[in-house]
Amino acid sequence: MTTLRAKVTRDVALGVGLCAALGLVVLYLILRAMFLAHFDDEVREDLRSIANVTNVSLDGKIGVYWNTDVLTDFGMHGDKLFIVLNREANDTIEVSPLLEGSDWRPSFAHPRGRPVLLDHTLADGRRFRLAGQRMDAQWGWDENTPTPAGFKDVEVVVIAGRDAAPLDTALQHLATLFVTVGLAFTLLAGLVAYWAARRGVAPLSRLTADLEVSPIEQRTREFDTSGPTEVGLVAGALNRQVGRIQMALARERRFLADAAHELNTPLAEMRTVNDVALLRPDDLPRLQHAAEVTREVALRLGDTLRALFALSRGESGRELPQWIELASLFDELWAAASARYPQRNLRFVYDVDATCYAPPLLLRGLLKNLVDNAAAYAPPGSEVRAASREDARVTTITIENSAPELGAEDVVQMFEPFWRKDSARTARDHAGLGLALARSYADAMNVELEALLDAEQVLRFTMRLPHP
Amino acid sequence: MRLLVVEDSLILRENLVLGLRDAGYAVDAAADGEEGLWAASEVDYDLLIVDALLPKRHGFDLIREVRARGRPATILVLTALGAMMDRITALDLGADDYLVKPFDFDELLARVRALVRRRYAQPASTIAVGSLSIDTSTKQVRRDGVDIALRPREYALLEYLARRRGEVVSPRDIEEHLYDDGAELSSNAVEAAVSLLRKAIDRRGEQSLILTRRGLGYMLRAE
Repeated sequence: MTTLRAKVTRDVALGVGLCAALGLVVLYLILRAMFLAHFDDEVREDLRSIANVTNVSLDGKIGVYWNTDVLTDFGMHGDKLFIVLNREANDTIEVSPLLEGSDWRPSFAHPRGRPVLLDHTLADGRRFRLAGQRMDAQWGWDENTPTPAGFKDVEVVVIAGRDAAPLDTALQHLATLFVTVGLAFTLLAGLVAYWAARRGVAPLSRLTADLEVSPIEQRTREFDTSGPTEVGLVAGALNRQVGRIQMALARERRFLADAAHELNTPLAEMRTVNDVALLRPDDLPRLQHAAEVTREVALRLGDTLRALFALSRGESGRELPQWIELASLFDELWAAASARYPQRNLRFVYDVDATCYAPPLLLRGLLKNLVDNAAAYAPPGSEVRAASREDARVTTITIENSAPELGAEDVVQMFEPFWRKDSARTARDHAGLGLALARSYADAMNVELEALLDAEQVLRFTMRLPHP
Repeated sequence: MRLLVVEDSLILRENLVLGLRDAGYAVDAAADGEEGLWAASEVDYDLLIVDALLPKRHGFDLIREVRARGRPATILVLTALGAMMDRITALDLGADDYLVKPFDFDELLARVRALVRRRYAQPASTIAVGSLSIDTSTKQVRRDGVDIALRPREYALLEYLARRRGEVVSPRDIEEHLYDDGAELSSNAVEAAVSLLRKAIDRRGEQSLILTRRGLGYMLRAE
């Protein structure tokens, strides 16, 4: 696993190295071209030096009148050479000492004009840069000597130049220098990048260390968001996530505590009924009563456990949807609910001719819990109303009943597991799981379930089931 | 001894009352916090057994209010809330004991006995008054080592007088501590109960252990 520091160091070093290499190569090429141009200028200067001393006499004889004391570089131990050829460049008129004994005759077919640059390597391996030009040998020794009458220009080929070794060495040194500079720059960039990355990731390292201090669920203080923006954003996001996790854990703990309490109370009832009955083992009516109460409580306990199981299933269940006729479903649900609360004398008024597209078991679970809730808590003798509306895209179902004791704050909490209007949980035939189950089924169906308490204290549940 | 059970679960309430009455206590019951507070304010109970999650008024709030009104009754919290913080809160508010549901009824009875002893600042479970010995845990009464069989009501009267020995106890006090709301009281119920108790514990020809202070009440005397 690579570290961020190593990655940043490597990337920066590579990037800087490539940029430096590119820059240095371009710079080297520019300098090399300048060096070569300068060198060639010097070679042309050498050519001019020899051209100046290449003279023709009145009888047409050509001579190169150079003084070894002046043009020492053209001497035997110098680093320059020249050769003067006849017009056809097939006969040597004069050569410098370095070419004496050599049978080298350059084939120079260039016309008159600007000097032409040539390369030549001596037998000893030395490379020479030369300039050659076809020109007229000059009359006299200086410009002031008048040209005699009948003088005819004589064309010659003059070639002169110098050893290219200094140029090659200079270019080699330049290349070495640039490579060294490039490598040093890359190394330095890597070191700077390493140091900068180390400094840069230090807040991240501190954040990581802080994260390791305590488990998320036990964390009591927030992550520090005062560092660099990027780390501050991560810390802020962590704080939000930790908050959400802790809220979820708190909700889960509350749910478990509620569930434990919900199961504890019927257990306490059963145990106490039996303990009290056994105080008088000879009192048969009391024992019989205890048995009946125990059975009743056990049945209620079973309902609570089934609701808890349903809650866990509803939250994870998946079922294929299909078209469902709501009228027959509501007939069935209301028959069951009214049989459960016959003494409440409720009236169920419903107009649910629509069809909807939903997973059948989940929809039944959702509507059953809403209908049961209405049947259990609507004021005795009141109406429970249900309606449906279907358009091209969605079926909307509403179930409503009067809820005079509810407040707006209750509507916010009523989907919480084990919530009851009265915290005492006096309504022993309800565990307070019905609406939590309804929400769970709605969530599993991905259906929006909305509760609204209007100004007339009518509690209305609305579901919108989209069509396929 | 007269107890008040404040519990919203009908099953628990009925059975607590039944079991405690079987154990010889006069027991009243209330189904919610408001009713419980009203009863605790009206009657000088020896012990309140209070659920925490009560309708209308939370059990802890009831305890706070009872203590604020200076009622001397000991208080036992009987609740499904078993968390440490709940226990601490209840005890700090003035509860004397805390029992988590579900509970063993015998343990509840033992705690009730202990709290009644505490109510009268008598840590021992046996009360000795002269030659009379009353074991409050077994409800056994002896005089000079001889067992005396008493009916529950007579026993309750003797225990109450013994707990307040040396004091003149008014008939109204006796009524309040021996008879719960469900009892049908005749105008001379206390006098009749004292008379029956005297017959059971007194020796023939000797002065009664229970003295009558005319117009004031009764007093259990040490011989």
